[in-house]
Amino acid sequence: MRKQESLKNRKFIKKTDILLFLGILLIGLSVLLIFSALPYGETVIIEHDGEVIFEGKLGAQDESFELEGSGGIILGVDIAEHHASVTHASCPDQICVRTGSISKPGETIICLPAKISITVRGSTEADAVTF
Amino acid sequence: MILQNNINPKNSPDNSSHENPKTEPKKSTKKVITARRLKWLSLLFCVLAVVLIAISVVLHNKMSEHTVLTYSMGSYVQQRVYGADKKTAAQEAASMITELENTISWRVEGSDIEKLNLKSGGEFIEIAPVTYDLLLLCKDVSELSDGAFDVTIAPLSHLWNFDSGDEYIPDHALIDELLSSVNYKSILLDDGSAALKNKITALDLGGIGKGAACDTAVEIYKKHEVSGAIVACGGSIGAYGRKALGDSWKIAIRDPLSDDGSTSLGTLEIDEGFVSTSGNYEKSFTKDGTLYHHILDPHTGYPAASELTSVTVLGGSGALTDALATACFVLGVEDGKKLLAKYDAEGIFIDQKQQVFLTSGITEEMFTLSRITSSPYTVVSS
Repeated sequence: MRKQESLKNRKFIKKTDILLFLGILLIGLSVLLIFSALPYGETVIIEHDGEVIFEGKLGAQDESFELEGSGGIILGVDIAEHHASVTHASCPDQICVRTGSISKPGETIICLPAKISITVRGSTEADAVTF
Repeated sequence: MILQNNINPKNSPDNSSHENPKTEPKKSTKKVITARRLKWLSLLFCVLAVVLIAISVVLHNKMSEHTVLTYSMGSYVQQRVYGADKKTAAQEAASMITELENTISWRVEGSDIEKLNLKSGGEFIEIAPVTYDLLLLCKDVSELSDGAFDVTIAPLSHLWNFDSGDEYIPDHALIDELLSSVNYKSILLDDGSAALKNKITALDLGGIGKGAACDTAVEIYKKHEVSGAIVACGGSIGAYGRKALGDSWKIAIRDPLSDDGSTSLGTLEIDEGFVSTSGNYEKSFTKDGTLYHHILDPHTGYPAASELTSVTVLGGSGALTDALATACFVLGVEDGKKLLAKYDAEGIFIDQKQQVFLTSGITEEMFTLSRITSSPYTVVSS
């Protein structure tokens, strides 16, 4: 009888073991999921000469503002639902305006004369771009 | 949890229904319970540990990264550094790159190159070891590429002046006249000193300056023993060590067909090394149906009539990959591959028919084409 009982008990513990194991797996997976999903929201970062002067989530709210960069160059920045762009600039080359709008992680608008860069950051971006 | 509750009541009546002495089964159930509790506790700790590890890894990853963007070499310098000494290393790398610019830029008054250009056709002058080594490297690549890469192209590149953005096509006679001054053999090097043989010869290290800047940065990273870092000086990239989680570096290659450079053709994954690209889309203009781009053929004085639109080179030094990318663009796929083999470097060639050619060292795991459905590119196996 005691032997049977201990066998029963053992079986029972084994069952809970499996259940708990599954539970841990579930929790572990959900934690992983949460953390992999967290940085998914894309961020717009504007830097001037190495210093971050603006940081905001893409799609959080529509914003339009003007920035003054090096050499007194004024940039008009537009951050809309899913993209960022430079609408006007007082620099001579207008490269930043012609770059158009950026939306994907890793994309950058750079205004060399004003030393201003606008970057979209996200979880899937490449570490660098060669060109 | 629900299942557990269902099983428990079932089990306890079972135990008590037995007609054995009352003390023994009670003891055993107690034992079972404490054992179960212990298991529960240890498993709970396991879960907690998993959660804590996950959180700390994410936080560590975020906090251990230091990014900085500065401006040198007529371009931006973007650094991302991991490790204990990351801030000092990045700061020192940035200032060393500016110092390098002041040594090798022909635009900077008092730089080695400015002095050499001023004293061309004259006596030897002493130059910094870094300038000497770079000139040595330039001459070497020139020789092995049969002059497809040549830093004495300066008089012609200044004539075309693609940097200005003007759509200017110089007079043919003027190009021919200046072409006679283009010859890497007129760079004379002797034990830390250099001279230019002809009066009309001039140097422009702009073609390797960004790569050399990456070399400088990586040297600083090594000195500070950071765990990992990536530096991008314009389109030239230097990668060192590993990211916080030990991942390799992902480098996107610009799509030559993209007007604004916002899309990538594919991704190159590397552990360590330097990557440079030469493409006909940069500093270019189209006039009367002809594309004029900034990569001049030192043999003709005109933009290289290459079948290629872009070449990306992976190698052991930034100055070297810069020089090789330019040379390969001028040489084309076949001769380009032969040149890369001499330097143990790898390359990705893209031609005007959107064909992608890889050297044997670029494995399938390393290079992936962008997974956009509209990608017109196909990898041609050699």
